[in-house]
Amino acid sequence: MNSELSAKFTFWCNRLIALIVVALIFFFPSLMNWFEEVRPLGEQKITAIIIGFYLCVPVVLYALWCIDRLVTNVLKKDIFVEQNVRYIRRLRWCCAGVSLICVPIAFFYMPLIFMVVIMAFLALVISLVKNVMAAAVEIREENEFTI
Amino acid sequence: MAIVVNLDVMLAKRKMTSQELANRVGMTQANLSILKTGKARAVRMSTMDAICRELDCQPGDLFEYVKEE
Repeated sequence: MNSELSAKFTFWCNRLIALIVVALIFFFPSLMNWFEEVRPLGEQKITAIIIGFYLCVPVVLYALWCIDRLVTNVLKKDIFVEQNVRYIRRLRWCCAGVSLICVPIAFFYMPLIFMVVIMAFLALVISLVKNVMAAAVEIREENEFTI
Repeated sequence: MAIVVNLDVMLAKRKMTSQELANRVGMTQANLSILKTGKARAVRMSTMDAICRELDCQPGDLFEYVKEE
């Protein structure tokens, strides 16, 4: 019961984040202009951050879609299936992708180096989860096909 | 896989249907089908015991090793 609540919470949070990301597609430049007024960074840095954001958006939306599918499967009790391993693997590549995209941007805006490190580390953690999941799928299949 | 399941042959020899064997052994038709089609990864000793008892055969009559080319 508790795990189902947690899965439902993740499901709705994920959709909310997707909505925020979609909204940011339209408002991100205005947001950065406002940020520039509050804390001046310079034209070059602002442009780099905006370009970085728009490069990351497709990857982030794809990652959110993968999470959505994953949580939907969890809610349907289809947990240890090959499809979920594929989603987790794609999620790992999305994290690695965002990390790579942020590398050149970090040259213009140094604090983004944290994003590079965090996303690279997250990719490693997700890779580990993927390996555990793949092993679990194998064990389940072995168990299911033991007559 | 190099292990061939001859359950069909034994069923034919004993003039028994899969459904009948499944009922006698106490397993589902679906599981018996997995065993017959060679999709099974492992067979429990208890299952083997029950099948051999009902078909009056040896485990060697049910499985055969065929060298892969």
